[in-house]
Amino acid sequence: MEPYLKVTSIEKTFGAVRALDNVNLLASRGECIAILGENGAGKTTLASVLIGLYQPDSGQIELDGSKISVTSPAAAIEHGIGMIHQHFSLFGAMTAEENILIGLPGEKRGAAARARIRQLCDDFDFTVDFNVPVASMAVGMKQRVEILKALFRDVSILILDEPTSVLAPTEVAPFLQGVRKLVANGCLVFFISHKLDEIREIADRVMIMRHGRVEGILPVATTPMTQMSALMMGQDASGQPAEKTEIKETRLDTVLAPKALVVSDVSLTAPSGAEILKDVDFTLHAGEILGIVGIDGNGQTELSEVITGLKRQTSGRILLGDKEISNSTITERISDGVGFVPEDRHAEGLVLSLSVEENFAFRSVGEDKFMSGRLISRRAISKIAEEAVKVYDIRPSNPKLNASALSGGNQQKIVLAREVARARNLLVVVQPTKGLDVGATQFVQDQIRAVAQSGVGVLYISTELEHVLEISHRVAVMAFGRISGIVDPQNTTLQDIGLLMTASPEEKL
Amino acid sequence: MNSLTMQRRVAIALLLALTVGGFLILIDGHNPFAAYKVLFFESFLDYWGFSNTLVKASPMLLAGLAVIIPMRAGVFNIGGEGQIYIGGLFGAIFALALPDLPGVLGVPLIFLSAAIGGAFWAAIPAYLKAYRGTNEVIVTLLMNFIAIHIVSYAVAGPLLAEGAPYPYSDEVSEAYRLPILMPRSDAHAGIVIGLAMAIILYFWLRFMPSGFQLDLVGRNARAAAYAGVDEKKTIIRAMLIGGSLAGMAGAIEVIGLKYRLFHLFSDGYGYDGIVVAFLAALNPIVAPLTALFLAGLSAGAGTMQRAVGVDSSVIEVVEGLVVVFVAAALVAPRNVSKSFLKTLLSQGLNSRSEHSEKKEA
Amino acid sequence: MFDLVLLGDVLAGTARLGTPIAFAALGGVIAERGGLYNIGLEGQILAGALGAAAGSFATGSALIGLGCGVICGLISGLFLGYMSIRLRINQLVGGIALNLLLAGLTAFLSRQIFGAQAGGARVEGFTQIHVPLLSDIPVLGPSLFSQDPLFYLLIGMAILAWYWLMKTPKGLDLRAVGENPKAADLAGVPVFRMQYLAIAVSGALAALAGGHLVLSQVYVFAEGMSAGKGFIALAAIILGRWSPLGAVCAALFFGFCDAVQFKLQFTSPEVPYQLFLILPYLASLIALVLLATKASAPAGVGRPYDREHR
Repeated sequence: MEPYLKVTSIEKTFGAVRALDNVNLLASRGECIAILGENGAGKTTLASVLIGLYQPDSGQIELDGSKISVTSPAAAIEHGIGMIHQHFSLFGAMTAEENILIGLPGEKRGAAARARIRQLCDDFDFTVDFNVPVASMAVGMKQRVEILKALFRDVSILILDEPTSVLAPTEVAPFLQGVRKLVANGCLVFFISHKLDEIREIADRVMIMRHGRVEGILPVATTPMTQMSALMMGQDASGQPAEKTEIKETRLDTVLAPKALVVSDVSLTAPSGAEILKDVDFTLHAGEILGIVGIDGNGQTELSEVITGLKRQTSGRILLGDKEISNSTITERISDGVGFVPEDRHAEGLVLSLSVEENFAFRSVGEDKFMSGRLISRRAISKIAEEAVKVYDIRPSNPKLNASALSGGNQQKIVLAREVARARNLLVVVQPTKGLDVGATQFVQDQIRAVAQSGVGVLYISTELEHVLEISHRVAVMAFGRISGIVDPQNTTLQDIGLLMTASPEEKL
Repeated sequence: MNSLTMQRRVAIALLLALTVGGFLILIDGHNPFAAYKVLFFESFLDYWGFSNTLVKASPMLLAGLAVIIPMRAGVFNIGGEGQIYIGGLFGAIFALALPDLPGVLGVPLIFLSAAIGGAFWAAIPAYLKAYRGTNEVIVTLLMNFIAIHIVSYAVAGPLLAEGAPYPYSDEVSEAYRLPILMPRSDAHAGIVIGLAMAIILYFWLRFMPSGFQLDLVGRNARAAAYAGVDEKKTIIRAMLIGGSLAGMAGAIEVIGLKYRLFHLFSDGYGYDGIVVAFLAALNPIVAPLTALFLAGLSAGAGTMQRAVGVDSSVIEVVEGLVVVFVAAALVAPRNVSKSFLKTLLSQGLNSRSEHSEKKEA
Repeated sequence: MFDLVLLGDVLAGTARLGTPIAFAALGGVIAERGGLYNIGLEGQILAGALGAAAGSFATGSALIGLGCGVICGLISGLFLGYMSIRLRINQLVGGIALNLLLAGLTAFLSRQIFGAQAGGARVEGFTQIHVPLLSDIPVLGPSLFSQDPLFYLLIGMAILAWYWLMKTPKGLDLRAVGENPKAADLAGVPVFRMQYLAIAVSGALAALAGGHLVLSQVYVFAEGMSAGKGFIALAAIILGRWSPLGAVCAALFFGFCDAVQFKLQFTSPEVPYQLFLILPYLASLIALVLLATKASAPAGVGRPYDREHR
């Protein structure tokens, strides 16, 4: 059978980053292809090219045997390509119908259109409330509106970007049911995910991406999960890591080590009344790496912010060694030797429009080492930056360049170098290897290990489970703002952790 | 962005604007080179002409700084005009009410009161922006009108000079007037104050932690929060400084040039300040140059008209084009000149932005 | 204090003074609902005024003059659109630049067209239309139903703009662009085309304000005759809560306050007339602060849309 969609040699670079590297793909109608890959592997970039959000640097897309150019999302819709983004593209103040009909020619928005929307709802067993603005809908219903929007535009190709990550566990099964029906109706569905069990359940084939390249397109039924995850992680199929990493042999004797951080009964309640953190309680010892894992959005980011002072807890206490820092400001915590590598290096960790050397100083510019008398010493800043650029091998090695001119890995090195230098007592890192290549990931992890060995307590928060298990002495699992368990990574299966990640608060007690 | 190529782009933009202006002069039936020669000679090299340039440049410079500082903190202060008016009002009231003091005491006090007036007028949008999230552009714009009418009421009512044919206040006593820099001309010491402020602010932003942190908020508010900088307080601080600077511009007009408070005494200097600030790429140390340039253009335009007969409105066109071209040069580094025609011709209204890859991946 | 004649005078003045502001404000609403600030209204009024004067001067027809003015407004709107949408120049700076440019250009061209003598050439304008019967109503009649045709055009445009923006599919699309251009783009709305359309219409409406000044008020082009009306219109947009009808009402309120203060200057010099000048701005400010949580500015206004921005 002729393939319906043919993608040939797609390339796309952003500055120094090669987001898509010679991507090729053949796909037919009526199949569901999962796209698997780590964060930053190029999954969403590929999808954005297909729906005309990004223009590829080179390569071509053929649909039904003829070459097409998708110059805009509108053009994609004309070709029957639709996408449902992780963050919905809905207008909160408008109703479901208005949201579905926006952008369509006027003649397609009449009473017939309304009837058809309801028909589609019936066909796919969707329950949608047509009388309320979208803003007041639950997430699952919003997602159904998004899907209806695509269905109404007669998509033959539908891209779903991590569709289940926003859903409540009970909403997942009916959603997958709907996807199956779409596929049965002849739709080509791309299912971007990094959840292997879901892929197993829904997809016919799995396309594995890594660092912008397609590592393989394999039939799901005959490919073992271990092989999928090995390809995704850049290991060879035997399951052994491609790059030998030092396996830590020292088991830390946590009883004897002094306490670096004590978090006791910390809760955080949003103004809306939602409990973001609930009675979080743990102790981190000097020299220990405590991993924190959980599905995105279960309070891990907020925990890091409460500990570093960006957010103030509603109740509970935080001790740094013996010193209470529950109400200290960020600046006080910085001078107490708390290093913090935040989740989003572009939005928080760096100021891209400043030079590399200024980025070494901006977080604590008033510190003695950057000052000469009461004035900022540009010379001192340059010296410190040059030193770090050398030690961390940051390239290009010119500290006068803007931080925006560096690749993601080198940018992360700046943040890490700065925060490691500061972390005398505690280092909090959030998603430190997100979007980095193997070499950079290795480097970052080595640095973090070295910091811990020098006697600093490290809190390692990440959704990249394999990395966390590899580096941590203990792993705390968060679910619904609570710590649902603290486990020893040596004696725990992925399945156990998976269960803890989804443990509802009631089950725990 | 490489600063050398940026300077080159700005130079090209200036040349382009002058070239278009030259064509207009040609249409008007005059020699553009002769006209420009008169324009620049008169505004920068001639004694009287240069004094006129300085008189205009002083308030423009301070108004420009009043835009630059808030903008560096991410706040768009287009309320300079209103802050000038309230600053002028406060300064005038104080100058008229002050008992006999020596000038060295009185003038700084007048400036202080004008700065307080301007800061007060800026504090309202600053508070609304920081704590209520109200759009500062809209608020400062509205407050400009209110300020103008308040001054208009003051000079027509409580401050009206006895027997005045139209609304203006009494004269400020001679002791409180700014000294004249260039004898027999109007060029007063206001430009010195502006220059001093530009230098101080440049060093503050670059070499003092508080200035550096203000800049941080404008560049990346979340990163600033991560560095422990309080965004709300910084917004307020930046606007108070901006308002003070504009207020001082108001005082300069009152005690430097006119010696009275007039109805409509500022001729849009607050808005000129926005242009000054953007041409200076928000760098305080460059602002004196851009203020002098703009002041020179508008001061020389009249002379050019008298001497060569070229319509002075040509210069307004040039000013507008300078802003357009320089802004384009600063904002869109690539594919601008090349694609302008292409876009208009080939794509018409349906222009796409796929060339613009200002990526910070 | 007010007798009926006075009231009639004030109402007539309201319509006369408020109409140009209302046209410009209507234009501003269309642009802002599409996510673009139009700070260039002031300059576009001048462009419209010059176009109207030149067109009428050349052909002797006020209607053709008005058409020429509208074309000038469209072009100036598209130019601002190019700066804001394509070049992504800060929309306030672009608008201010346009104002400078058009103030100079209109002055220059008017001297080329009409000669340098003060006053310029008098051009053909519109005459008032007396609506039969209705214009005979005492007080209200002469002020509301004996207006020039552009006042009726304003009312028509306001209703049309309201209907288009709030009731038609394209209007919904435009509002979607102003709220969240990315989401609109993904739904297939041609974001950039809609924004160019909005800014062009915005310029054309502002030009009608200029047309009113020339063809219905003074019958001559004068340099800087917009006299800040483009900026007042920006305030009227706020007071009118970004709604076409609201903005027109707000603009007429500005006109009313202006008419009252004119009268006061003559009839009651002891009352500080500036109070009435301040009143509409103060009302706008208070409305902005108190109603901030209700219908407010379109969420995406002022921020250029960059499709590939990540």
